[in-house]
Amino acid sequence: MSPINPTGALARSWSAPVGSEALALLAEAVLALRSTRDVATACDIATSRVLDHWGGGEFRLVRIDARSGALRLLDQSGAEAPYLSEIGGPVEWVIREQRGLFEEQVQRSYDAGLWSEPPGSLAALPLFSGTELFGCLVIAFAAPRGFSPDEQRALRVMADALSLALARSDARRAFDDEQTRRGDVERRLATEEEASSNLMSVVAHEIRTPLTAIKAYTETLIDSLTNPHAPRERFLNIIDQECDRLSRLVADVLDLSRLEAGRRPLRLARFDPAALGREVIDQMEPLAQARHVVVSLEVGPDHVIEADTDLIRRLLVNLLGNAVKFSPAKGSVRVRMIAQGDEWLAEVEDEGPGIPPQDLPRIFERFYRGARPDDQETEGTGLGLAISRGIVELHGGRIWAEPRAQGARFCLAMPLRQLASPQARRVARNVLDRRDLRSLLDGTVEMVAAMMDAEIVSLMLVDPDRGDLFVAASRGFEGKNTSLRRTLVRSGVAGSVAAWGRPVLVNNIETDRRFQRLNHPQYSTKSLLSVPLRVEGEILGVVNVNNKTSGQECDEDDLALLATLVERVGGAIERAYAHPDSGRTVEEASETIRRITRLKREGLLGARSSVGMARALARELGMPAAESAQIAYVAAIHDLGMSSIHQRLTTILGPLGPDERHTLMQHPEAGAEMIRPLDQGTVCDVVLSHHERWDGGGYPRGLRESEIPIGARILAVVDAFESMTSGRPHRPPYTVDEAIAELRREAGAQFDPAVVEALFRLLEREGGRHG
Amino acid sequence: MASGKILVVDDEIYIVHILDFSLGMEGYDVITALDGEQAIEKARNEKPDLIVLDIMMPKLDGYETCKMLKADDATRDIPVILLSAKGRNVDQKVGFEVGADDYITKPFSPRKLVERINAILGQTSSQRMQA
Repeated sequence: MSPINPTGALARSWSAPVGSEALALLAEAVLALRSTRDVATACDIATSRVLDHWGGGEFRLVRIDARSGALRLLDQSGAEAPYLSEIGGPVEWVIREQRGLFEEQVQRSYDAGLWSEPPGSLAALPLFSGTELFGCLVIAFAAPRGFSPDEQRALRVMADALSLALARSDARRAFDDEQTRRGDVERRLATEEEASSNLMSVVAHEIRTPLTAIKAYTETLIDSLTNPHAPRERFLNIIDQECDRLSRLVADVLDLSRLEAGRRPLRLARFDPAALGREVIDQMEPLAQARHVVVSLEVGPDHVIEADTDLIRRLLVNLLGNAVKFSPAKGSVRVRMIAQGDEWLAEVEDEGPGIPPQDLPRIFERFYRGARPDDQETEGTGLGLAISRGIVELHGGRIWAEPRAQGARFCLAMPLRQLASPQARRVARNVLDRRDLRSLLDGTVEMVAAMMDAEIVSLMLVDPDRGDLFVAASRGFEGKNTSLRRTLVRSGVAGSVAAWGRPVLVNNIETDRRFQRLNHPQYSTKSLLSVPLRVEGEILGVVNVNNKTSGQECDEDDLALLATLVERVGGAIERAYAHPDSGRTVEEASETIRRITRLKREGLLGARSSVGMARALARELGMPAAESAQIAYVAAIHDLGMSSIHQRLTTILGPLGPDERHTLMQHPEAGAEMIRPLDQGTVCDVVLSHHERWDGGGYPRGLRESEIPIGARILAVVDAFESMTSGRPHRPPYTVDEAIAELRREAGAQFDPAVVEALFRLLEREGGRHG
Repeated sequence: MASGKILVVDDEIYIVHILDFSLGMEGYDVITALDGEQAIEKARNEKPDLIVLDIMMPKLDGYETCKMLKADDATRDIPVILLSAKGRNVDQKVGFEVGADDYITKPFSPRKLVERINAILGQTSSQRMQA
């Protein structure tokens, strides 16, 4: 883009002459804005070169979030904070009218939240990207002033140039976000683990504090039974009070652990938050009256939210309780609620001591305590705000605190409705529009039922029109309660998996505290697995498995296997998008899925015990959880190519004929070929190589030692062990000791010695555990 | 009756109160502080015979307070008993490294704390005889 000629849009805005000095400044600013990439520089240019010319002035950038429609206030560094526009204020006006507003003398609402001082005059201008309104630029001047037609035009030009700079910075940020997303996920997993062990030690410390008081007072009480001067009643009151504190602490710690994202499914209802707000305010009334604090509620146009009523009540009680407790006598607490875009925004303001700026980022941490009100020495557990944050985040929202001139303001924003993201809905629509992909999903349910040995399997997809989840394919679900056929995102087990993407295993749905009160009578047994189906990075749905036909409980091996199977299906759908000849790709994937289903039903694929052993061995060899799960999956399907001859091999006695031997030698290649539509990478390679030998004498490629993929080296040992210990028609089974001895004899020849030793350690540990 | 002046430092007001009572019954004169900064000031001005110092406190924690007391000529000879919820060996080591004279873990027995104080100050116990 040439820096010399303004774009057409800019040129049109610039039609009337202005003073030559202003013109020069403006031209310079526009040129500079055109070449900036970041918001900070753009803001700096706008302020220093243009506003200074008008004798100073402050400006604010408010932008409309493309996904939610909510407003964000940009600061000079380009950082964003959610913003609630004032009813009847300039920001609201510009967004509604989509044109500029010039107020020579500010008389009415002026978006007070934007300024430290009331402005004398202001200009508010829309920011467009193409024809789409994406924000608003508000400029305030300390004194009333006129805006000549030339000046109005000049400000419009500046807004246009700023729009371009912002659009560019958006594009760049989208790119950077994508780059960092992966790294973030990995870091978060590490942090979560650390946080959990950290919590234990912090909780231990917090529990010891009331315990110390109880111990000290009790002992002193005992020692002073004969002492007429001891204030025994006071001692007993303190002990009683500290016991209460301990109970509250234990209850809060439990609540908090349940609130950790993805651990507690929400019980969603549609309700009027204002009514709930009034209820909570009434409940607070005695406390507020005692302190002569006035609590007021200000509500935007009527709205309902989709949220967990109990949790939102708890949230409001926490925030309001804090506000009242920290208020000075005769202070006022203001609660505001409004629906904006597809977000619900709420604020609680008090006139208390406020929060020191250095504490702001940390107050939502567990047990973080800033200054406490004097008479609240022991009341709080230090977990109220952490619980509040947990509640808001569980609803997919954000909570933050802002300083005020006098007091504190707590703000939160959460989705009005618990629906899948527009991106997930778009992907779901593309999938549902294709008959071949729908049939792939039907096949997936059958495959999962066969592989997992499950009575009931359901595949829930995001409904592209409604945004909730519905059962798109199922097995064993007939005649079940139809209310189970739909669920909102974040609601129930399936909804929480769809929201957070974390696989869930529930072994006893009646006692697992995550799902108390959520039990449905339809769960005739207790085991439940639920894993996400991801396509193009979006969670498109979930696959749920209940009730193994064997009646056994599900375990971590089952969960890992299910997650891996469903990942494969997600991968196949993704490739169907990318592949030029995608009809054929999908048909091949469906065929592979059908074949796996059939062979498993006929009992020709890997035994359940090998799957668990393969995963345990991979773990023992220090492989990461994800890779170990993948090896378990390969163990489950690697004999796909054997299907044609397997039956015969397991029933005949005596040596194989030449044809049979040839077929046997072919099966790794046949298997790799069959699995290819679901897996291109490692898995194919492992299937292809599971009959290679450590000493290079195996087939089909004659690989040796570390040339053989580790997964294949593991499978070779697992297969041999399984085959020896289960026996064949022509020979009795080996004992575990005999099998190990045989494996050790072959270590370094047929098998990888490290894998054999790992198996030995594993069996020894298990033997030790059972014996 | 024992005699002497004890400075009790803890941010938990109830702990301060109960120690005030127990040590008072023993015959000690008790002064109190709710944080490390206050403790240093009172130690300098009031010259207590012994300091009972909590470790986990906001602002200046017990370790830092102890280090500062031991670095100051005016207060270095006052014996310090650290009082903390932490009970691991590493904490004890750190406690002695900063110059503390004794260490007692929370939850603690006021009776035992009195015994330790008496031992350090060379006093004999009187209060428990009544019980």
